[in-house]
Amino acid sequence: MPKFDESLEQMLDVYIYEEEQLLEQLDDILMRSEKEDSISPDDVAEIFRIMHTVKGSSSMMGLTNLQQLAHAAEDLFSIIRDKPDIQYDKKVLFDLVFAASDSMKSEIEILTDESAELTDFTQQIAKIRAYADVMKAADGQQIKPTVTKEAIFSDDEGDDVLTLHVTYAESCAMPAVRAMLLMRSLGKVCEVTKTIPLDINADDANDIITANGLYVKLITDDKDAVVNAASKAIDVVEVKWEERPANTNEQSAPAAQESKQETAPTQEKAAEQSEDKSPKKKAAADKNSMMSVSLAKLDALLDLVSEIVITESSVISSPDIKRYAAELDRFNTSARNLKKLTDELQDVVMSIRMVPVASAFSKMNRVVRDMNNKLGKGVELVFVGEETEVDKSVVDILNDPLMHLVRNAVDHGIEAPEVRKEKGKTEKPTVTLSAESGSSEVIITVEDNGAGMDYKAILAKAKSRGILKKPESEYTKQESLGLIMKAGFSTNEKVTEYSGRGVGMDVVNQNLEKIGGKLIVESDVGVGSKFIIKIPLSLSINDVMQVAVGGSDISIPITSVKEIFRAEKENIVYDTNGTELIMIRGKCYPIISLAKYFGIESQVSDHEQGIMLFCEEEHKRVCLFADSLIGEQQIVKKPFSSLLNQYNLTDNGLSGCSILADGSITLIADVSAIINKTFADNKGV
Amino acid sequence: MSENIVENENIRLLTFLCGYEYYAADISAVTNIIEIPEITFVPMLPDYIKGLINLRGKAIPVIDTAMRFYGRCDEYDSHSCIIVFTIRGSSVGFIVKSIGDVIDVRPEQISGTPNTKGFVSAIVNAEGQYYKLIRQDEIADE
Repeated sequence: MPKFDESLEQMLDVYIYEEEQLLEQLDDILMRSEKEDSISPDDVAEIFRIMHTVKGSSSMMGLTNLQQLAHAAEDLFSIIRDKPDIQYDKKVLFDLVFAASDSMKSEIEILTDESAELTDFTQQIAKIRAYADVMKAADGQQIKPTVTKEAIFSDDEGDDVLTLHVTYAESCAMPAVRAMLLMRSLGKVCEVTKTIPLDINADDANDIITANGLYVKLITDDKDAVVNAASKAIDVVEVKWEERPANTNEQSAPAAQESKQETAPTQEKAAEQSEDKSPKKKAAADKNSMMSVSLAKLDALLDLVSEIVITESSVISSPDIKRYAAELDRFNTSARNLKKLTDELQDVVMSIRMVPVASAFSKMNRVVRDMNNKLGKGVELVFVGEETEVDKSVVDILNDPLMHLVRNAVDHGIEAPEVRKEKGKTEKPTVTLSAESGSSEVIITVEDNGAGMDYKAILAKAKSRGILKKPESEYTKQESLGLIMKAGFSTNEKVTEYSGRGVGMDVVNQNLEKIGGKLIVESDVGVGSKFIIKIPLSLSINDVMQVAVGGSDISIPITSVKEIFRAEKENIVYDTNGTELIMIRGKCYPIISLAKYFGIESQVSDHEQGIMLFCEEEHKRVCLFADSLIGEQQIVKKPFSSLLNQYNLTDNGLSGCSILADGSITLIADVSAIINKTFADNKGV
Repeated sequence: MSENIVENENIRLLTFLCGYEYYAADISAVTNIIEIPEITFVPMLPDYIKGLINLRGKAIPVIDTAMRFYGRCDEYDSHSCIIVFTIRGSSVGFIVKSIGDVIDVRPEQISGTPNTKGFVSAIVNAEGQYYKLIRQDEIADE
């Protein structure tokens, strides 16, 4: 069942993006407040604003469950906002809001899944409402604002001003929005002079309207038309004319004064509100100086810029102008300026995609908080260099590995408080996340000052699991520690909620390797462990080794290539079925000739004349044979045109192509597909 | 596709020569006409797909129409060029021997062929000259 009206579907992306941002912001504020054990009035206002926005946009999307949940949370904070000195249990409050934030997040995640029903949050809402009542009761005061008769009729208005009282249904979630629409339709039949509440846009307008209804001051000749228009409006249950109390005009002086006093606070409040608003508006304006752009547009821009750079170099170094080289002074000056500008343009465009890793780090705050609550280890999370910038796609990929590593560090790494005491460790249990950027890679480390790992124990364990590849005595400390990243290895006997399923580390490692990253483990018993993630700065740029095969230019990802060498005749062995093998350091590996594999005609058939690339993919090792080496390149990989999908090139060993700086095209080989296909074709190799 | 064309009033066609025969294509599907640039050979594709060309920073496949229609290549000369079509959102180039005029024809000048599949959807009679109206997506598909 589709959850949305068709017309709303196009808004869905924006909605989801917005909500995710808001909820992340909410978590940040909550985390900070919880750390400081107090919520500043600014934060309360901010949380209120976030909930208010979530409520508004959810109701626009017709997601009543989210809207009601947000509404409940909003009410909670509106109580705190209105009565800053109200007494409440912060822990209960934080847990309630964290839970609400989690529910909203998971709900938003499954929004696009049509098979999943909207979740029912009634219980959660009831809990929040119940706590709100507790808070109100503690304060001993009725929160609901009331409007007095006197406030409605100020004495400075003319006799021709009529007062219309509109009551909205209690189920109406956003009467203020309805009221605004009503104002618009009333504007056609009469002249509205004033409304009570004064400012329908104000944050508390909803509550006032729900409690008292909406009063509209208007001047009109056609009373019926007004009533008609008002009763047609959505969710309106009652429309009636309020009669000005007979004595208002002949009020005695003190009565008039009294009524003025009544109105004065209202006005003051309004003034206060508008003052309140100005800094808020400013904040909003600041936010507008940032904008979110779809990645697709950025990619298109990046493509265009690289095209400009290529075209520019082909113009400047065009052979047509070479012969006039001596008389090209002015041209050369302009060309240099152009080059400078395009270089700058390229840098700027590249930098747009860069975002600070802080966004990935800050998510870990939440993970550590929840685990601290459960495990009672009181672990402190410290960030170093979180302002380091990496490509957006890298940040997205970092989330999962970081989550795994941080959970492992808190669960396994850091000892229980009593164990720490026994060992005489006085420093606070800490997990440090740090980031720094190298020339072509980002280095992210997750370090804890916990128990550390005993590499000998790991080695023994790996042996009992049968993961060892060579004699036990040959393993160095570094290699032994690396064993925890092998499939089927878990040092924790019992499975906890957070870790110990034995899939953690090897999945982390595999995912990182897939994108050309690396995971290195360092650890000392009693001192702590350190996990170092190295990933390329940008995922769209790949390092490749270009080789010539016949007339073709084929690029092999450097991550697959272990070694490049020229074969010696005596090392080549022929199997009985004609398969060519090569001996490398006493071991035999199959040779795959790229020319034969791709069916390209090549002059080079003698193994000694060509070049051997020793490759490893998924623990399978082979030697690829090519005519000659062209060199190392950095390329931007592009998938093949969708019209070529029917030929299944990716399964056959070509993963895409790339356009080089000189405009020529290189094909990118996928070594693991080549190995798999070769082995599938001639079984027994 | 031909059905659509027949319904419309004014039909504008791009004509081209392939082998010794005249062909025509609905001009609304044509995005570009370019000289033949360097073509990068891609292995493991049917022989009528000559490879990839760099069209303004995009690698698009090119099909040799003569190879596709008759199973043999035309000799390319200075008149030969590539017509770039957009098929299901992707660009693809057709190598043709030479480009002819753009002609405007009325529906009654087009007579559909009984074949619902195949490379040619209709025959166009324009002032005594016959053109074969192509189905470019059939040509691009395997």
